[in-house]
Amino acid sequence: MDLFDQRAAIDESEGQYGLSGEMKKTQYVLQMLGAPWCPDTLKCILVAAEQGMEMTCGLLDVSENEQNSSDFLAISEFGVAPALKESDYTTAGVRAITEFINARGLGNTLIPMNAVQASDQDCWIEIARTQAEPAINTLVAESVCSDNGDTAKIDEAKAALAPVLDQVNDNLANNDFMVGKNFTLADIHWEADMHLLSLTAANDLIESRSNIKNWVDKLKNKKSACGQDVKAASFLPSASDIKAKKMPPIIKIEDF
Amino acid sequence: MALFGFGKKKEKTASASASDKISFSGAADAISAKCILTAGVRGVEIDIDLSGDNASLSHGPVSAKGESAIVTYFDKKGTGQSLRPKKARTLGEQNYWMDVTCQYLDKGEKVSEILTSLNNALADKEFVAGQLSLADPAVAGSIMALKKAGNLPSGLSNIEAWLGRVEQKIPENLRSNYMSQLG
Repeated sequence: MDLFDQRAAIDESEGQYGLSGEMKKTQYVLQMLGAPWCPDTLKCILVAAEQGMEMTCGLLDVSENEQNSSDFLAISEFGVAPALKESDYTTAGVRAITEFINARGLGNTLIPMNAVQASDQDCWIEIARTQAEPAINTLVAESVCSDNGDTAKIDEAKAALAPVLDQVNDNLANNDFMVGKNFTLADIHWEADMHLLSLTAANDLIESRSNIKNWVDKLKNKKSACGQDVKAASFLPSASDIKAKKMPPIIKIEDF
Repeated sequence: MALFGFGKKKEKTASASASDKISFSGAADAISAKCILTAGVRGVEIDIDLSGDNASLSHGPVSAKGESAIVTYFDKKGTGQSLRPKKARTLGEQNYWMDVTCQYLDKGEKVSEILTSLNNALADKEFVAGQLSLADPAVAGSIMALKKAGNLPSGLSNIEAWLGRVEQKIPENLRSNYMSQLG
């Protein structure tokens, strides 16, 4: 039994979604290992829900260095996390998992076909990963995971994040989503980041930027991209889930 | 529910004309190597300036910054079929190696471990994800940067052979110019 089956076991009782194989593209339930405070894990959860893929989730406690444990290295050779399993296939890393689920899922692809839009999408994803997430990770560590966060670190992270969010706010002034009129993987990345930020002591960074705030509200109420009766944002962990190191146990698709 | 793309909203975007040349600028580092190799393998003709700082591209009214955005643009602008695999599992394999490269190789971490594993994997595969994909120029660019810095372990014969296969995918009229930028 590998770490997926220990921590993100699939319910194989009769009648469960995906097990009868009637829907060709979704005959396998996915299994994922990640951490509720990790932006990359949240992106994978959002894509699964958007694309109508049922997925069981288990904790990989990276705060305890579990990504370097022998059990996890048996799954992901170099310790890249989060990790995903589909039957006899495993992969790891946010880019691999989100695009794998996007390709497997029921909905339209979330990757634009147009060269300029596809490039813009990847540009916004890189900004999220390299410019926003280091600060957001600090804010989550200091004001969600810890009861007595270091205020100097919080202030420093807020100061670093503010100009990045100004760019995002300006971008959303004329666009419905991060890249124009259609929901793309760039929205998934920023949705995960803004969700984590909203749980921290720096939520005012969102509240004070009306375009970001409206976009966040829109995504919270948006029906999934695949048309299933699911709101992807509803699967994201709360501050108390993060504190308790609790992953959402399953991304459940009810109307298959 | 939106099916077959009918639910997607079409919108106008900036686009370059056929006479616009593509200019790439960046530092002489792994990121630039990946971008140049991707352009090469996709047969995209670019002017290269490696005296810059951060990777950027301009093509008429279009501009892009950062490795991912530039690689994607070159892939889309290339001739023939995209290097992005259609099959989900192959796509996962491609992106896994691209993540490993960014997360570790480009930072000089776990180099020996990763390259030994890749060298073993390439004993049975022509390319990193089986078929030629975006992982090939990405991983090759990273390895070439390590080689240039004198940090490439020896005895990786399968990797050496694969680097040769990737180089051969660059059209002859572009090859010597692009490879000289990486040497």
